[in-house]
Amino acid sequence: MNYQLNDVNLFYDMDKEERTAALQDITLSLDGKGLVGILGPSGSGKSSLLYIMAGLKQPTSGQVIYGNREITNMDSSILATLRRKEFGFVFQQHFLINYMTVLENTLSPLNINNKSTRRKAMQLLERLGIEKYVNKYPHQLSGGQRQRVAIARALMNNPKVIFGDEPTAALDHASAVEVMELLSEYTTEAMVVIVTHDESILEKADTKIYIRDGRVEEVHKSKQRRI
Amino acid sequence: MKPLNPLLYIKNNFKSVMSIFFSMTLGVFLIYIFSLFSATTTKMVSVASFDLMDKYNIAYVDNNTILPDQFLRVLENNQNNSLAVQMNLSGLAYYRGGMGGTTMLTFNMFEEDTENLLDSFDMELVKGTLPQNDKNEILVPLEYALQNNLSVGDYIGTEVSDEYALQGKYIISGFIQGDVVFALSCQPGGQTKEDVLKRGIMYRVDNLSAVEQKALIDSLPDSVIILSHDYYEEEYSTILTSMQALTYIFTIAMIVILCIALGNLNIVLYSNRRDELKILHSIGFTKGRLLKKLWIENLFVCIGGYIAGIIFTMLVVWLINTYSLIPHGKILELISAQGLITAFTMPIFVSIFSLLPNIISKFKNENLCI
Repeated sequence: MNYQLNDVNLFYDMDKEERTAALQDITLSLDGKGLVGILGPSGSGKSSLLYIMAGLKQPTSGQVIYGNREITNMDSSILATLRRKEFGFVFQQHFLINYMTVLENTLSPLNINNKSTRRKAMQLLERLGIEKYVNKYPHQLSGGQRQRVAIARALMNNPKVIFGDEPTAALDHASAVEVMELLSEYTTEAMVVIVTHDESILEKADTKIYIRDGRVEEVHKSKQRRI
Repeated sequence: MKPLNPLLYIKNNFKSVMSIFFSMTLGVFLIYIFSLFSATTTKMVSVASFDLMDKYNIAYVDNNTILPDQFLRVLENNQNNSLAVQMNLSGLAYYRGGMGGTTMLTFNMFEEDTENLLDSFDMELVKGTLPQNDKNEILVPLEYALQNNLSVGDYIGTEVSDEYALQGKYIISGFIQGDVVFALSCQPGGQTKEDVLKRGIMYRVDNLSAVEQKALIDSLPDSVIILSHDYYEEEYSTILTSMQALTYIFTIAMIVILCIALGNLNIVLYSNRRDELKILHSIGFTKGRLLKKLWIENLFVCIGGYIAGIIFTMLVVWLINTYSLIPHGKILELISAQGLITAFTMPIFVSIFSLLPNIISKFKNENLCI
């Protein structure tokens, strides 16, 4: 599904004399497939851009069009439903629900616990190598294991877009590479948008968007998409 | 179990919701036990008056007049199986275990009618014998005897103790037990049954329609005293209505107190769950869905507290009955449908008003996305 951002701006402290610009004049066009990396130093606005694309934040001005739907003016409940049905999220801090087991966390986007969803969740957990922790709670897992659970949860609803906000930040390099490998596997079925300041994990990215001071500095598209 | 099933949250976070659960249990206990006292008082009034009058009405005169012939003829024609009765003996104080006591009627009738009267109320003679004519004997309910520590052969009346309103001195000939309470003596004093019938009659109303009952009463002059369901309704309605109103006021006060107390607790719980709600909203659950989830969880905990409160109350009342009241001829009602319904308003209202106003305003003012 195509993504189109037209002249998107995000300002904080709108009621104060000096506004803080998080994003300015962002215009982008993405074709809805492949691995997209958003890169930039801390505070450059890369996470804000991701959150705006995902409908988790509303821009101050501009348009975000997903497919043929403008999500910037969408009703919050319709937007939430869109996120549940078409988007998957992997956040920096894992953000698992403490009182749910690994399996329940994985099933949470669908909120269905039957044979078929359990089988699907188990397949994902197996693929991520954490099937033996299925009945464990998040506090009983390591950081890397939790991040894998978060990935399994993000993939559970067959998303068309997977958003990852620094998904490898809390991991050692080997785990980070492994997580990126896993996410990369989905780029044929979905668009995977990853925010990071570590370019080394985006070697296989189809598109890299460089951000600095809230502005797009450069968009680099690889000549040939991986298959 | 579905991941968002409220029971999953309650099961895994019982410590967090325990305060709500126990507050509701205590609140329901207070309301329901008060309702049981109220129901016991209502029952006491009922067994001593309404239930009697549902079967028999009593028409009598206490001056030199007599009951109209026409009235007696109608009853005779209807083969009413009426009983001659004198209402010249004071009632006896009766308690049940509720709030206060009442007066039970003492019927003065002929020896040969006593069995008929007891049979019509399914009353059982549990000890002693039926009273005989003009022997100053009296039959009392077993509960009355237990309440006053009386045995068959004991004397009651003003000549025995000032505590009695019953004039004179009567020997207890036996105890009766059943669904209604009354005392029974046979002191015709040399009068014939026909003479007594002209001045006082107990007539069956359970086979008469409401219209027929009213027509009979309307045919009587004002000098005739009529004891009927309506008469007692008028007599006790103010007391019973006030008692009911008190239950409602008490319930409302309890709901307000719990809403305030648990409202604050819910804010704390909400603060502790903000991350969870942010995750769920971010991965696509609408605020409305989350609000519903929070409310249903709160409702389940409150209903759990309600069930625990009802069971706890019944256990406490059962213990009070078994070890304290029943041995002394008293009893507290164990179940009150009205009490159950009144107490059930608590989990409903508290689950809504202790949670939703606070959370809705938080949902409105906060960006719930990560």
